Amino acid sequence: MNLDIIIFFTYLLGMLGIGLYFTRSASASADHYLLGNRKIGAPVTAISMQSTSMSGFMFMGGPAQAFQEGWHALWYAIGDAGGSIVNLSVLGKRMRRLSQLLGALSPIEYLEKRFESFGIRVYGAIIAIIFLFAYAFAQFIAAGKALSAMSGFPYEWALILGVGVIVIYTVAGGYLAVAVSGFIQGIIMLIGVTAIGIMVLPKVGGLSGLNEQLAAIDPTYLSIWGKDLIYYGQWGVIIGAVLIYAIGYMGLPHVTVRHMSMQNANTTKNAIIWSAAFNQLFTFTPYILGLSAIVIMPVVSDPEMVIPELVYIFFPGILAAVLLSAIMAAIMSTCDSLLMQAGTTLSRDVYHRFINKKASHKQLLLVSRLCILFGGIIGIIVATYEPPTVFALVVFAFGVLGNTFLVPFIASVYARKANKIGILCAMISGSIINIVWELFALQNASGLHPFLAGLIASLIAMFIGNQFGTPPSDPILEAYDLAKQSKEIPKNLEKGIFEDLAPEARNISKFIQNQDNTNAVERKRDKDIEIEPEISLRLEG
Amino acid sequence: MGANVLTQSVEFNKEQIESSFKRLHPHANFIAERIVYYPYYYFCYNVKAKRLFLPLNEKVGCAIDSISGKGSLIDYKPKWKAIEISKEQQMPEMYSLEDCTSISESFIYRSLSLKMRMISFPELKREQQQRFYRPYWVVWNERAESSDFIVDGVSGQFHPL
Repeated sequence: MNLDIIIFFTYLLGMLGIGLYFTRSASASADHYLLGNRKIGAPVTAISMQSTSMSGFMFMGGPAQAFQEGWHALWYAIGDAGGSIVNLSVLGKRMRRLSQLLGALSPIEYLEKRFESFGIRVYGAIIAIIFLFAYAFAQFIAAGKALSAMSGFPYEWALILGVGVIVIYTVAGGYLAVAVSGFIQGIIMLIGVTAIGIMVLPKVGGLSGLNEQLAAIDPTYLSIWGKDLIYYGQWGVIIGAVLIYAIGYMGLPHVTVRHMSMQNANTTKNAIIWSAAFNQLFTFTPYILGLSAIVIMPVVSDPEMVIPELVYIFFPGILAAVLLSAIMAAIMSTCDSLLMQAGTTLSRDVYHRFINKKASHKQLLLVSRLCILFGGIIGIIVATYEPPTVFALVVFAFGVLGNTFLVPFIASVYARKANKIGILCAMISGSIINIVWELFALQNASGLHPFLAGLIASLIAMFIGNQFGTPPSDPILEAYDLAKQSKEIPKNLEKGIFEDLAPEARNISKFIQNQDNTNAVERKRDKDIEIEPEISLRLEG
Repeated sequence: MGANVLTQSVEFNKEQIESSFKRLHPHANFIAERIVYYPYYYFCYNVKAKRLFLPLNEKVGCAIDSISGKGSLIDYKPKWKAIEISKEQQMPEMYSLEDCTSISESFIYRSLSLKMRMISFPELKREQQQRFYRPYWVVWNERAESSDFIVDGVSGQFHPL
């Protein structure tokens, strides 16, 4: 066994030890797992959050795409960096409000309640589970490649080893998920990625030097249309590339757990802002490194190994192995949360709701864990026999998720009369068109990115389908109007709103209104004036 | 006539709330008009499960909102004191202790299966349950076209009404 793989396992054992130590020292309560480390400061939480969200795509898929297509690949990074901000500030606000009013815990449950349809929940959950796994498979491939580079093992053995470690970790351990180990990993990666950037960029003469050298190799590397102008004039491809990350993530079935602070503390919101800032830092660097690799090492057998190769070129052996171990551990953490989400969605949203309504908690946990185990086995088979690139698989998964959920999400807050038939048509046609476009490689023939094709199909299907469904019920329309919230909230105050308090706010509002009405009735008796009856919302359950 | 109930202490007084809002939005005039007490049930469970290297034997607490029946994980065990509150301040509960107990169990199982990694199915043992009231400030904005707020009297977190 070579030194690098020994370092990798030592690194994992070290992180495990840290996780165990802090788990033991905090053994009076389990909240350090359940509450996502809310007791520590915002920057520490943010680094910890960021290190676990860094995926194989960031270290392998993105740089490989830049290495192959030149600056054109940055379209994806622009969507990734800017889209989430637009998303949070424009669509997110109303959706969060409506989601709280409807009492939905996940985006899929939100759509089910907003459009009053089980069909939407079933279809949404199935698509989410399948493509969540596809996204996890991309991480498997990345893990296999990283381990193979470190250990010198054949890819297949490295893959089995990597996925095995991930599945055992997900089902039985999870000690890396504690804040301190996440923080240490985040720091290693932050320093590592910055150090690679600092060492690589001067080597290629900074950004201008890099561009000059790229132009000397092939001027089309600098084009927005891709190397060899392969997408020349195809705005449909460019728009699709920008949009895909901006909105695809909304389809991921993030499940939220409500939280109530027992002391004066509000690190979570700040942590999200910190994390978004770190994200900006990490979004572009891997692509720039991919471009630099064209100059530094023009011949690479596997473009997805650009960053590991750069690490070995610029860092001494042991440091390189530590950095790669941190990358590998980050991939494991990402996979872990994807698999847990997929398992929970399958057990709660599909098995419990539609297959076995009387399932006990024990059965649900078993289904969730079996789902993870089968996912791991299928992942190994897919990644061994038909390994697509990490980039292709992530783009495909995000594309289908985005095409399934984008139109329904927008319609949920901007189309008052959108109904369940229209939304179901939008989800089915959007996802199917994207899959067909990918399977039959229709992008080149049509000049349309699969994501854009799916988006257009989804929109048309919604307008047609909407003619056939029944209009939303009155309580839903009332909730829709409430979520629009005509009263202005100053920006400084809006930033600090704690969304988990929405149910309390609604109930307190009703309580006060009832008291006011009672007082008004008493006044009416005195002054004989008319009052409007209160409209009550019954949206729970 | 008031009622004797267990509540959490109000950590923010009227002046603190109003000046904080003033700092965030100097052009508006916010008035922390009154406190209402919101009913919850607190549950503490002992969770036992098998796990690699370190068997799980920990406590998990949650609070169930007994008006809307929603669960929340909590980060510390709340401290209570008995006080008398007026009828106008006390919000009536919609869910009984029995309802909230079953909601809390499902909520804890769901949170555990989502976040914790275990080999065996966890055993939950309820160790404590208690109804308590949490104070919320009702903050009016004097400009009619702007939103009013509630402020959590314990954590200081706020939300528009």
